[in-house]
Amino acid sequence: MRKNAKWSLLLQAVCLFLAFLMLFPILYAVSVSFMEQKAVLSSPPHFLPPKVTFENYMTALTRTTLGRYMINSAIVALVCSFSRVILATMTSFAFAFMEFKGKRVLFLLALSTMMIPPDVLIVSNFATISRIGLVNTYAGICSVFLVSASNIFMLRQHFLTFSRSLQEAAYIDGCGNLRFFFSILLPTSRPVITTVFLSSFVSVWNQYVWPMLVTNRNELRTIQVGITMLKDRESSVFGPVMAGVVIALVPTVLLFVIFQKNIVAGMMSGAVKE
Amino acid sequence: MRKMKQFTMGTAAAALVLGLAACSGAGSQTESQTEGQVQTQEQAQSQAGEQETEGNGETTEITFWHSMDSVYGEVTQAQVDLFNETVGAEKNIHVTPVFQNWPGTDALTAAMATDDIANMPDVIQLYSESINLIRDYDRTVWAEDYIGGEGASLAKEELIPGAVAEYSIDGKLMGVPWTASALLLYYNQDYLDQAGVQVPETIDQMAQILPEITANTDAEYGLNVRINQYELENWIETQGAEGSEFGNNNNGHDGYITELACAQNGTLDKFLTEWQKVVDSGAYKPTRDSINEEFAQGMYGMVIMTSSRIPTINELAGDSFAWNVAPIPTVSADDIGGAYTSGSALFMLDREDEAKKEASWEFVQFMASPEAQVLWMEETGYTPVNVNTQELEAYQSAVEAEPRLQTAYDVLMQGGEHVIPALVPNNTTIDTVIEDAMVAFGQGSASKEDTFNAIKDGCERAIEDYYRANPIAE
Repeated sequence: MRKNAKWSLLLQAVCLFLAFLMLFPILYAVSVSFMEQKAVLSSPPHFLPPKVTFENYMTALTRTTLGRYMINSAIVALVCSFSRVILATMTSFAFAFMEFKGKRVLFLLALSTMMIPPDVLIVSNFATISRIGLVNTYAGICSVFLVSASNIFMLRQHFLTFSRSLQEAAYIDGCGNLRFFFSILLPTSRPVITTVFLSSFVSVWNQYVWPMLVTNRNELRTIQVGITMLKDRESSVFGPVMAGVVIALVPTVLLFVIFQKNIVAGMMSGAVKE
Repeated sequence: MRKMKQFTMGTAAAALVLGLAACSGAGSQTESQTEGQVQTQEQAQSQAGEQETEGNGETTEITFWHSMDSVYGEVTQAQVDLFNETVGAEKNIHVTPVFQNWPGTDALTAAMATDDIANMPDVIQLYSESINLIRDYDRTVWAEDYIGGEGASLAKEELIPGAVAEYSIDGKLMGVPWTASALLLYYNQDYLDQAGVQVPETIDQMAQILPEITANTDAEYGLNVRINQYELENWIETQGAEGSEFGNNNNGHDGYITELACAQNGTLDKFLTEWQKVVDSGAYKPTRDSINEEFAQGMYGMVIMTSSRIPTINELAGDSFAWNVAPIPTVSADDIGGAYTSGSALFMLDREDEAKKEASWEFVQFMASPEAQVLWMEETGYTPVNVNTQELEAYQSAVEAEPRLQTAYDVLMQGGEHVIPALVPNNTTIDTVIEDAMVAFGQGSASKEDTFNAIKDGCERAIEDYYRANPIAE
């Protein structure tokens, strides 16, 4: 028992150390965002600002229109995340609960899109979007992020773990596919759907190359593009960039804090098939 | 039940089709390419039509893509605002600047590949390494066709000669120079005084004083410079009384670079022979970390970097020690010296609208004018490309406040039109080849001969690869 307590203590210490190791760059970024330029470059380095300044935030907010960029990112991330959840749940339902010809081939076809690096397709995607006149539109930015094969895979694996007896009982009681989908399957899958939504949100929020390529009007740019406008190629002015990074982090961190419990439950679901 | 099943299957199939369409798209590219081109051209023409129907005297909208971030972006915005308030207001032209990530070619390449003129800029900032991308492009509007023309307010003679030569092909000006800087030697005057040595004028002199600096001062190294294509080219092209070729065909300005000329004309070998002395001094650091901060902290006696960092070093070093800038030491005492004009130019693109082309030319002329160029002096280390800028009071005040900025201008004028950068194909690969070879040479892990062969073979392979993928048009 005493040995177990020691192991537990050691394990916790290791976990704390690893957590600190992973959090350190983010904490340091926050610290740098409040530092004066001289303090950032001093030797030995300061890990905490010797004198707190908000100048970097003022620079970040005045040099670019970060507020507008955040709204753009939020619109794109929300639309894409909702779209991914809706399409992925429906597709996964078909793959998990229905029998039809070519199901396996279609599923593999969907998964195969995960194997193609997005960068390879960027010019051809641009050609498509340009041809249909969606350059410089929110629809153009969202277009390539509306569906994700990994979301389909994750939800399908989760749906496969759904109790068959419960499903059969529902059908025997006269429950149709739509009612089963909306009234039974979705409510019981809330944690995994939340996880899919949040991971999609973060993934789309952090996109840089595509939104940059498909927009050439400043008012349509996203937050990640805005941050690059703050860097300085000739010097190491890190403060405004770090301030921009911290501002960009806020929505995603808030979402994680709010939905933390759901995410953990969602990640566990589908791990073991009954 | 059956209907429900069909509905669900249909929805899932639609989701898959959507997903595949969004994630691939390559398969459908060719089938409607022509249709797409026609459509985008129609879009542009309809825009042009709308503009015409607005009637004469209406504002011509110009889109300007640039890759200026941070304070450079602010100066760019100030220049554009000044144009819109002055010439633009007078001639009914309005320019909208749009930031594109450095080097600014990603979106252009995509628009070029799809001939999407509706989403192309009218004016774009490009660096000399990107000239190969548009030198044969049908929609490139050559500045040469305008600069000598009737009503042009800008003449070639007003621009730094090296910058004009830099953006000229077969003697014709492609783009109008906009930003300029020079490779310089930054030195810690206090350390040089303590060591009792003078600012070196040749590499040989520099190699001799390096051990003196480390022996008599707190400097960890006498010199820090990582030699990439930029630095090597400068040392090659400043050799001889009239400059030398890094690549054949006048560094790609009279035809294409197909051979590494410096490997054949002896300049590469001569440079490496002299640089061996620097390596042997034992006081040279061939890699680059945080060169600005390290120099400002007194870690080096000398560093070699672009003149655009003068304000940065000034801010970092403050009054902690005396420092200055000088031309980079030459390979031989009788070399022309100086440095080539590094920087960028503004290029115009043909969006099938004559009014836009005329307006673009007005804008480009303004951006190279003394009034716009002097704005670089306020917060950046860029050298104005227009020689008449020196007559402005604002220029004189800026140089009085920071005399080191004048050195950059003098260095660029020293090289004249003879010292020009090479329009190297596959330049990112060539840059890596040179960096790897020179770092190994500097660290003593490669001999002079090994370094020569690594640069020669690596660059020739990169050039060959480039033309295999991009054959020279007959």
